[in-house]
Amino acid sequence: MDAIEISFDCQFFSVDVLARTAHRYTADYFVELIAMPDCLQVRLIAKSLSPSDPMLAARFRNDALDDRLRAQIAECTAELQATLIRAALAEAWPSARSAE
Amino acid sequence: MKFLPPEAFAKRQEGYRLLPMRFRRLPWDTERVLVSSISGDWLIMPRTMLDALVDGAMDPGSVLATDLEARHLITRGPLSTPLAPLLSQVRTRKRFLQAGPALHLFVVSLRCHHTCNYCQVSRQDTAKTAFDMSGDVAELAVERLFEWPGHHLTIEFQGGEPLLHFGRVRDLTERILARNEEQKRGLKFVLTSTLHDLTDEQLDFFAEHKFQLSTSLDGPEWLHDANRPRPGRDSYRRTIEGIGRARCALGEDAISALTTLTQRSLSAPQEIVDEYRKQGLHSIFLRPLSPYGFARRTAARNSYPLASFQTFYRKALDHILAINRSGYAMKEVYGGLILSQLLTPFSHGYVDLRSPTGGCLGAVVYDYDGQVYPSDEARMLAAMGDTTFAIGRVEQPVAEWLDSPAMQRLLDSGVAESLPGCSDCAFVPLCGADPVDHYARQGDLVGHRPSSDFCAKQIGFFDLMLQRLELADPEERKILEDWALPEASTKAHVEVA
Amino acid sequence: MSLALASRAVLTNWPSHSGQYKVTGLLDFSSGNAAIERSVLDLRGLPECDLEALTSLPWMGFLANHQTRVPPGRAWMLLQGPPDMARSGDVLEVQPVASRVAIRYRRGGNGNVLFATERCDNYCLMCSQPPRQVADGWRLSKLRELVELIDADEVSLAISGGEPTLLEQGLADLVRHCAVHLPRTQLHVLSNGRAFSDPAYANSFAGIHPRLSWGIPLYGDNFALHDYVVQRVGAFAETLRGLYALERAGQRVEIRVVLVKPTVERLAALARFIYHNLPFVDHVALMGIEPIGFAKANREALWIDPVDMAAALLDSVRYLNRHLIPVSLYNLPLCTIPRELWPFTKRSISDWKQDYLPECASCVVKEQCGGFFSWVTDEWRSRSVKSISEVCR
Repeated sequence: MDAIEISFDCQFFSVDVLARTAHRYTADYFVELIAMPDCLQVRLIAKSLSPSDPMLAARFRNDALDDRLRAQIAECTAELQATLIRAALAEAWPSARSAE
Repeated sequence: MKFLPPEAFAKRQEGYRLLPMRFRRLPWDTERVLVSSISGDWLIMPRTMLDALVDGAMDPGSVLATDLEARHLITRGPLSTPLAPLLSQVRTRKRFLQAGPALHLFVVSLRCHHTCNYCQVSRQDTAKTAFDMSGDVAELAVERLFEWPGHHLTIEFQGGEPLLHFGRVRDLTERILARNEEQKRGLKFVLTSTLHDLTDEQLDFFAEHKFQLSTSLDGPEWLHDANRPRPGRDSYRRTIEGIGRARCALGEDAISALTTLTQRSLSAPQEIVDEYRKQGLHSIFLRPLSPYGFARRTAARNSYPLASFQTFYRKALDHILAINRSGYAMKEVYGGLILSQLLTPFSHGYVDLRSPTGGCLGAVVYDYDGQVYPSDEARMLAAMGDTTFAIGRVEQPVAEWLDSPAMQRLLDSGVAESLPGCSDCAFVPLCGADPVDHYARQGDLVGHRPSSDFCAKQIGFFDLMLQRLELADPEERKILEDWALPEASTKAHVEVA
Repeated sequence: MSLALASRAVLTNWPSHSGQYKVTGLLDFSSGNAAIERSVLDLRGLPECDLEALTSLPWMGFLANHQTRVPPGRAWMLLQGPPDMARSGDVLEVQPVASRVAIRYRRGGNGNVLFATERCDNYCLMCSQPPRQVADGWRLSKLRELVELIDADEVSLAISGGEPTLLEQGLADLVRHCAVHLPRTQLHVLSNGRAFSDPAYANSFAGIHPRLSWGIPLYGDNFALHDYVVQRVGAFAETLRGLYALERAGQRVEIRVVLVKPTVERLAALARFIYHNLPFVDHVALMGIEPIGFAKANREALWIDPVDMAAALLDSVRYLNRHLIPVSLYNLPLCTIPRELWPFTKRSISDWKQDYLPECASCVVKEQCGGFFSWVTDEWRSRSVKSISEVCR
């Protein structure tokens, strides 16, 4: 089975982000993350014998960009998220009328 | 008197901060994303604008920024954008937690006339009364029922075929009503039954106590009888007769039906929907097979990939919408629940669409033998020899169930927001966790999201409904919204196991 | 027909201080409801006969006209306005120093308001009662006295201002006073809700009145819009916090939206915001603007012809209605809004300020329509005002 290899600029993408993205593909692919001197490489090998997906690399790149954005968002908001949930569930509940 | 222009209040020079948010690219238009708050409010925007937003580059006075602010996705500071509405939305979304389990399922007997090979129940022959719930178990189960705090309790009788042990149904109902004299909870009674061989005595009883009856109608006669064999091979005829008699005695709105979809069923989406219309039913629940009970044993013959169900569902949905457009109101129940999550700030608390999981927290199963489970699926696993989720027995107080190792397992893996793969999913505020399902299918309570059928099914539904809403003309949009919004009239009974 | 609220009067034999008195006619007296010492007996139109047994009772005074005979030495008044300005059951304030009589309560009227204060901490662009920073705490005791004279079977009363919550505990005391003297009367308080961002204040109203509700304005789903309309930084945040505090205190809340131009531009978004964030509200009132007070100075910023609001109104009313939030339209003549919305309109302009235009005389739906504010001028008239000659079903 041929491996599909996708390279990522390690200035732009962290191992953590790519690992998350790689995880999304582990149902249908074996995934390897390889740290090269100047980039991070992702290798995907299909688990089944179905025809190869021409859009795979493009999809993976999009997903990596999205996971990178998620990491950025988490940096700004993770602490606030925990505080908000705690605050919301610690206080009084809405009155009965509201949900019926 | 001096009045200031809008600019004096807009605070444009002060930026904005992000509030916790999740996003998902739309599968049908990857240049746009759905962005959701922690409470499940959301909007759709261009992916490039999301980059700008996160980079701090969006104009806070723009229409999009104002929309994001109104949905609590960004804040302009606590003096400007209060967080009270967001907190209130979270509490509203999680309101089902307040009351404890609302749904209480009593398995009065495992006996059944049918031999459906997808059966989840591990049915027994109709003569084997050893599989009936005894009076002692019933008495204790009722004690336990009233230990729960909920003001509104739905009591559902199931089996096997509960009518084969009708005496227990009556006995339990009467015991519960007697105890409720002082407790004064709101009670609703439901019976899940084939409705075969209903007697007048039984109908009178159900009418007196305003029962809701739920039955299986898999589709037209050829399909229903093929799916649900019984001696005489006339399940369909008896079911239709039962529905008719029940309607006369209890009224149109008291009867609802659902399908179980076999491989055979998947070939007939329009026919199934047409059958429901023919029978004058206004709601249909298209339920895919679960990998439990006898279904697991016959999996090779019967099971089908999720994608096949989804193809079937799209065709059935098209047909249901066409029927609605022709003037006949019909709602698909699960689609309606998904729409309700998307379009309202409320959570209906349906077991599959709530986090923390509905197991024990939303529903409790009291088995014929006094064993207690957090869901029907957990009961099925036990019947197949795996008691991982047996939380206790009716002899024990409820507090002990909540302390059990089984309960702990459920709680540890039952909060979707904390599960890998779920925690950053845009739908997580609207979705649920099902440790029992993941354990049964994947051997792991937490589950592996990329290969999870539970996840794929949920996401598939959310994506499908969003896409339908977006592409719908005003008439179709109104039909879909009607499915989501509470009405005074008929509501399909949804808590069927 | 708009009724006058005050008139000059000839006041004879009254004490020099102002006082509030109930107008009592023969019917009220014979039903045994009169609090005689706090009442003026309406002598107008009584039969010609010896009334001495009646008039010798300790009435505060008498309401007379040129035909009546008043017992000598007793206090009496001659109103110089239209005769039906004051009727049996009404409460008058007699102001001898100014030779003036004001109506403080009108039996059967639809706009009885307890005016709590001229002070306000908002400064709305369209304020119909421009605030003044005055020490008018004296109003509270007058209002308590007035409450005691209002018919026990009065259906509803409003408390307004200015901003009634600026009275702090005085407002709660007044509400309690209403609960004691008028327990069957619905009490609706108009407030900007900001003071309730202190939850303790909201809680001070919990359970003190069996039929209490609050009318609270919201002009947008974001602070920039709302704060601009009410001209106060931070108002939106405080009002929202106040709304949640009221909900937690078990209070019934109505959202009021005056349909000024900037608000109409985001009206559908506001409807969505209300459903998604304030689903507990009892009612949403969408109200045409009153062309009086500050509104006149801000016409450019505020005025939008109701005819141009049609799309926004249809969207918002349909949305709220489908989501089971009751919604009503006020102060919008029927000829200016789509037919589909007519069932949502309420005749709402208080009778003392309501009128019709000449073209309304032949209109077939005049009786259903709320008409106009008495002081409407051409630049506040919709271009579509016209008599409706038939109603298509």
